[in-house]
Amino acid sequence: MHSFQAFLSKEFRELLRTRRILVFFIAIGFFALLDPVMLRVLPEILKAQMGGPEGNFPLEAMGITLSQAAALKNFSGDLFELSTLVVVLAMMNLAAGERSQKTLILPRMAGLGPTGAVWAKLLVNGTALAVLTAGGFATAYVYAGLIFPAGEKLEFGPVMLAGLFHGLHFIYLTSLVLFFGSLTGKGALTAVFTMGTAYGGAALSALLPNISDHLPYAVMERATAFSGFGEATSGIFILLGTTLLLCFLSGSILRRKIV
Amino acid sequence: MIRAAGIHKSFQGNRVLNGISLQVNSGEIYGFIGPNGAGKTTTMNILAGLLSADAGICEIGGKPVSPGRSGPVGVCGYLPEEPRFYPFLTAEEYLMLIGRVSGMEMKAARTRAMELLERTGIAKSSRRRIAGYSRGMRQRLGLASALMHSPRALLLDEPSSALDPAGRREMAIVLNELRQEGMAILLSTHILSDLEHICDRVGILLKGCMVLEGRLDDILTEYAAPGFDLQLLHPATLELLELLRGMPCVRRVETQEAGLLVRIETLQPETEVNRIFPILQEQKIPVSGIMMRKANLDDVFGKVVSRDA
Repeated sequence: MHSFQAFLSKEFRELLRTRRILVFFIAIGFFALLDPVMLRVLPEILKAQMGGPEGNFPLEAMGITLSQAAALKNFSGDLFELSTLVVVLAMMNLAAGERSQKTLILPRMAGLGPTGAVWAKLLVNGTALAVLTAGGFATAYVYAGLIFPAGEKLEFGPVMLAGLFHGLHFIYLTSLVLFFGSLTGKGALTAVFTMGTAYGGAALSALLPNISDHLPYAVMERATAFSGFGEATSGIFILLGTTLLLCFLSGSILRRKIV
Repeated sequence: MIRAAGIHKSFQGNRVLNGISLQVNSGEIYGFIGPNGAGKTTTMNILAGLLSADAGICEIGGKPVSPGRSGPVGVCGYLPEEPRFYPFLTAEEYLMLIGRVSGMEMKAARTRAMELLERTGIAKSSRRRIAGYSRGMRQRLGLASALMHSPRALLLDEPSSALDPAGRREMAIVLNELRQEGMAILLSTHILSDLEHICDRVGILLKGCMVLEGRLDDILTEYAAPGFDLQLLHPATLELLELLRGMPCVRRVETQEAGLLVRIETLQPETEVNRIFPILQEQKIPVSGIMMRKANLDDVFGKVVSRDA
């Protein structure tokens, strides 16, 4: 418990002083603001590129709808496809750095339990990501509502639930980073394996629709659909269970790989 | 306090330690020396509970050391050769982190941190981030970190390798104080002259084997040969070299730019001077300098390494 409390404060300082929090903020906030704007100016861009009046472009036939709901769906998609990449790269040395730099030797000799350190990393980084994601969805909801007064609208509740799902997925990603980092001790490999697992989960879900509701990626499908909990309950439990398991394994590996 | 008996360790079939045994009592500094790759750091890592031994017994403070479990936590402090810290923290924050990890209350951790920062000479930089610290400052901070939880045994791997002469003197003073407080200290270093001033006992490790161990005074008496060096202003002719090398007390003759350096080992330097000077005078070889030499650990180490290599 002491290790956890002590590392909690260390992790919080690291988050702020290494500017990782700024990277998270930009990775999430950028799309929260940019996606509604991009959708709003899309007809203008098409007009400039292809010539002719706006009315000549059958946007709906091209699968493009101009609405708050569409802007939020774009945001949700970009958050998974692009922000994930930035967030994973920003966190890739979270555990790998501890192992490769041998920074745990002195704390270990004072009594550090590496599992406490892992939990502290998960809690601080996961909470920051979850809060920023919720803030991103709230911002995108309000901003897209202002930009698109007409068209399909979404309720605030499902939007924030989607934010919660994304937050949970980021926490799961953090545990993957911790696991692969403690296993390999190399930041670049950690990033590759984490991205592979995250995007591989999406591919697996598409290939095996029968079990897709029981995969961690199920929360992403719910988040992108803005359809509430739906069938995601088992996916949520599996995601949380996997997160816990990965943290225990990370702590156990780090305990044996301090030097 | 620190005890290792019959420690064996191999890495991927390569035997690194071959039955190492040593004991460091409370209030004692044990000098642990050996060439690079001899197995000193591996021994320290095993004693610190950071690596497992293939065979043998390790105890710190009477408790067995077992990696993966609690290890010698709270009883033993360890300063690795290149201590690594979190660069975004200040020294004060780092020591408080170590103190809190060891179970200290916030106030007690702060008081202890300030005391150790003062003792290791980095109090003035305690609020600067560690990223800006020199290697010497990091070693001082490493020592402070190793002492933060008031251990009874201390493992120091090259603690003064990055320190300037003044820093090394200060380190020796701190280690002497710790010895007087009853701490058992296992100290590994390549700076043998430092060891001579502070060590009670010495062990020489070579290719994973303890080839020599004992009280420093005994070892110096038994192994080191005192003597003197003669600086000769004469070109190194074949006849002269043969003459010098033929003398029983001459250990080595080195050719130098200005002439020759003759290394003489003897327990009776006056006798040898009286014997060698007339010969040199007869050969009209001018002597430009004579330097008396005391028995030292460097000689012992050189002899043992060349004997057992």
